[in-house]
Amino acid sequence: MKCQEFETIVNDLARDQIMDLAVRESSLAHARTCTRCAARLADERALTIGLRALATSQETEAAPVRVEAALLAVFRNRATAPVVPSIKKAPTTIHQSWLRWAVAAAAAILVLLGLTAPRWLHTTQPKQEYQVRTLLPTPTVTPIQEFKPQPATPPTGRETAKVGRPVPPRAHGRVDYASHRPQTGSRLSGIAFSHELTVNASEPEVATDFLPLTFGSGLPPLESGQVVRVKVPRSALASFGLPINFERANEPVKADVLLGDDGLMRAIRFVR
Amino acid sequence: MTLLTTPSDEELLRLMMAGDEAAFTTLYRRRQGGIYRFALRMSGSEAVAEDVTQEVFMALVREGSQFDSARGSLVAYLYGIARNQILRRLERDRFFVPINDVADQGEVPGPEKFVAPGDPLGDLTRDEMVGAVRQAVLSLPAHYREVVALCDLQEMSYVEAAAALGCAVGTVRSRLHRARALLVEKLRANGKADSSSNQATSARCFV
Repeated sequence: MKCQEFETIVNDLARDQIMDLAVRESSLAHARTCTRCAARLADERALTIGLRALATSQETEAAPVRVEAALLAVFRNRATAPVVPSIKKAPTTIHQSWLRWAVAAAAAILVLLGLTAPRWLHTTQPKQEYQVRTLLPTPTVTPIQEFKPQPATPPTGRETAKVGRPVPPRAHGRVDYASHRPQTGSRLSGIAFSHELTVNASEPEVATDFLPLTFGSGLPPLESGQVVRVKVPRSALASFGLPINFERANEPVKADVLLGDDGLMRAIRFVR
Repeated sequence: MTLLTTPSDEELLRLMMAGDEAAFTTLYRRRQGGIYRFALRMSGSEAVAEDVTQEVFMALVREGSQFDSARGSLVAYLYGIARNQILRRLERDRFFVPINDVADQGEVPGPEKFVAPGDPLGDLTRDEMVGAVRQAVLSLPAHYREVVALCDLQEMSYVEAAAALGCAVGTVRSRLHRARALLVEKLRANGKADSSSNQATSARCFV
């Protein structure tokens, strides 16, 4: 016997496990001739003695009586409810595992559908001209005061209430820009822009109208896009000919960037 | 002539699930000791061992019908539940430092501790050895500790241990081989540390 072979059975030898008599004799004979394997066997036997002593010291250890009492209480409560006394057989388990896999597969398909369906719907939806998806309120001009004095009739409380009435908040989502297209101002890909200030009475924000980004002039016409709120250096105002407060030159300014479906910036408006 | 036979674990489980309290008690008393000691040897904590034992049999009461006799014995099923519970606790408690209340705060000894046994020196040596082996076992990684606990301390066969751990017999053999080699190394290192500390003490005495 070689040392390598001895190493594979030294555990069983030291633990007095049942083994072939010839193997046992040859391994013991090897241990008598090889000092290294003899030492290895001695270590293993000493360990076995130690482990048996540990096992013996713990052989009377058991769970306290209170555990049994608690379990019996649970069992009695359980026994009041009818329990089906059936031990499941292997085929049932196989069926259950198939069912589990089927449920998992169905869940995975649903998740995939959930991820891909919006994109698919977006690509198959008929595109409408001059529609912009916006996350923000529409940049239309909203006059704060619509009151016009009518001297013929004395003012009533209801009419006075119209003065400075805030415009109700507009819903987010698709907004038709065609109806709000200004008559003046520069045009970019079918959308008109003006430099007039936009006042949104429902929110305390003042914004310029969308300013075309000139480098986008060669781009295809914008059919739909997305408005994204960003912060830009205040010096960007100067690029569009807007006045800058130099005392706050280091502070960024909020801006809404109009992105086309191709991801390119088409226009920008500054928000205060 | 009546032939008295001991009901098998599976038979007791069937009776237990039918509401037979005596069957449950018999099954519990037959198996709780092994489960408790396995949990104790894996965790080194009596409180954990008690909790795990209770959880194992609670699971049996609640979900005993889930047991599938085609997949293994009831003992292996119980040890499997115990193992999962222990590993979960070990994982949960790994960030906590245990307070050894027996060693640090002093265990209240029973009357038998004050009675001088027949061979005090021999008992002391044996206790030291058992303590060293216990510490060495507890310091093993969990997947080595469990095979030592099952095969060497619970004296399970490789097949039974493999069924309880849900792995192949060869895996049990190889893990046990590696675990025992680690134990030998740890105990040898312990012995060297002890002998060096004794030498240091002697040197101080002579000076």
